[in-house]
Amino acid sequence: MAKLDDDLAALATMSSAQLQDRWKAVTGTLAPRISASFLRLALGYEMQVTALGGLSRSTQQRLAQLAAARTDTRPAAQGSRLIREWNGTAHVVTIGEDGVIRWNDRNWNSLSEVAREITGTRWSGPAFFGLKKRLAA
Amino acid sequence: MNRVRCAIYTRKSSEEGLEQAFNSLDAQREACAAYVLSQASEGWSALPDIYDDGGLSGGSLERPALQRLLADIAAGRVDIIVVYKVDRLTRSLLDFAKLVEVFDKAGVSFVSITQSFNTTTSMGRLTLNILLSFAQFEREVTAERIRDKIAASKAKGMWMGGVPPLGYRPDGRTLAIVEPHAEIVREIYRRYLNTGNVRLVVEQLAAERILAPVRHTSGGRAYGGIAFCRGQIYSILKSPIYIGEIAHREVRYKGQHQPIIDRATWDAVQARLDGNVPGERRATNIATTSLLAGLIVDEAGEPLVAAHACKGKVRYRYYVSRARQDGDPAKSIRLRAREIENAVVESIAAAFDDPLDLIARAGMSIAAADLQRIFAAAGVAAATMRQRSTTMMRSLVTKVMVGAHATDITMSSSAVAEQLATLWAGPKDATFTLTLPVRITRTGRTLRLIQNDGRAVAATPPDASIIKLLVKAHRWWARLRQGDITVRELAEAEGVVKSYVTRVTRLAFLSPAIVDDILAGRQRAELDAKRLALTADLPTRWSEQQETWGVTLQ
Repeated sequence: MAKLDDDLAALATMSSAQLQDRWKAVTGTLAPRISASFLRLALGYEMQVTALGGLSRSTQQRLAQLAAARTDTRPAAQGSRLIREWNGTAHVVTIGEDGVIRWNDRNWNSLSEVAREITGTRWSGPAFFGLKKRLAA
Repeated sequence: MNRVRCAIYTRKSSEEGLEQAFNSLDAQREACAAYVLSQASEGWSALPDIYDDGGLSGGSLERPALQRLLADIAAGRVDIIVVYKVDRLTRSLLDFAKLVEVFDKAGVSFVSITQSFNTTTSMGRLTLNILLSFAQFEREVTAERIRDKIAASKAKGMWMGGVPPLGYRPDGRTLAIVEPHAEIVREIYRRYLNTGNVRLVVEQLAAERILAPVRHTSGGRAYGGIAFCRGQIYSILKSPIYIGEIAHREVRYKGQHQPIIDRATWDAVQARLDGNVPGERRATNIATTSLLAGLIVDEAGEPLVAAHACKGKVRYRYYVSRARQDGDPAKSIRLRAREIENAVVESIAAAFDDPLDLIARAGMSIAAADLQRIFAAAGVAAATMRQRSTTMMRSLVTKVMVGAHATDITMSSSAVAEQLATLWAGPKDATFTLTLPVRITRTGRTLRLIQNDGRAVAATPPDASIIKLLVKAHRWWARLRQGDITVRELAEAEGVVKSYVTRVTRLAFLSPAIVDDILAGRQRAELDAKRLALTADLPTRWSEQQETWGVTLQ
């Protein structure tokens, strides 16, 4: 933690060339063609990502989905029930208040797992349970 | 078996042929008797009395046999009247309606043997329609007559009933002055002429403890005894009764009662009132109506009144304690309308999103077969609610109580069942409560609604414009990061200025926590797209960003 603080503080006094070298050291790629202050910000961000972790996978997926603007997924609200009819039987999945997915009297890690158990094939869980909708073109 | 006593009624209008031994009357009578005999298994038997009207028109009811029959009906000696054809009874439709009414009253039915009189036939339906339209017509004529009578009486200056204006009591067909009350009315006129401001008049009266006197309705219910409100003062100031006139629609007539206010004073007051009219105010030219008006109360159960202020075309709406108008602002509440409305709308819509839970709360029992239908109905209901449907809000919600710990929404079980397309078996006025983890808190001088984790209640769903900016930022940063394009080239390609690209792209360096908050729509209230895009410098450290823009959890 202290090291990250020092590194971030050090950025403020670096020259443009130093910054570019530092970028290469941190990311392993050539520095983008942006101003020094901009590069400082980007570099600080990259360092913090390495130290503290960046956007979660689900957030990245959400941003990518928003950028593509072809589909939209509602998160399964905590404390809700999802009902899906499959081959004539209605399957009720309960999302607990703590976000735990329960179906068939046991907990599951994701809706997709549940969907696979029900159908026997790989499905996107949100799509299978109607949380993912295709946006009108 | 019950004995059903049948009276056979016959009539013939023209004299000819009546002198014959077996005439049309006898023929009718025989046919009727045969019909009664055919119904003997039902217990029908013909009465020995002969109700025959020979040579009498069916245009009036002044027929001896018919009158005799009516007398016997009234005496309860007859169960069924049997006639050969409907027009034997009467040819006047109005009389027919009257007769049917008399029959109904006596519990007597009547049978026309050649025209089966039931509504499965066209004849029966026609008759019924005729009866109904005549009954309707008669009602309307009566109503017109009464309206004309009232208009004529008012033209004579009579008092035609209703709640007597303050200062008078009803006295037969006119009004008598009640002196102590009349003094209050004069006082109100005096004060209005002095101040020219109804609100000030109300405040003065309240301050001097001049209350609306207790009066009693004719039914003995007491009303009054509380402070005057503005509406009352307006109606007192506008009422022409006080200058001894009786108004009917737009016309004013000289009344028979004594005036309380002299005309000069009254005219001055009217001129003053007309000068103060603020202009057109119609519900139709309001972009946003106050959804919870009349439903929302504070913890003490005192209603919060919908109020607003305008700046140009923008309307800032609030729900305000009545107490604000009677002083004591310390205890009073003033809530931003949009916040509480969104919280309530969203929670009700969310409840409909989970109809199974809602059904459990409302204490309904449902059959498994209905599930499909209920879910469809619940989806529609949730969508309607999210469109801020006033009618739906008013039918579902009976009360919204905003408190210092939580907000309780009282909902009508039967209305919820109706929205879910199911039947409600319980009592009509059964209610259940949804509790929102939203409370009022006083920050400085203003009251805000906050959720129980201390965040401001989102006044809006996730802000689409901020999310757009974020997405744009990540796209542009991905392009720049490849290192083969400068900011200037990117700006040209995108058709924007260079500084905009720089400012927006910086948002790709917001801390993950803030990005998550923005995507979930729980960012700080003061964080909006404009602020984000225009912010001069973004701190590099996530901890510093969090201080400025993060959501602090209490």
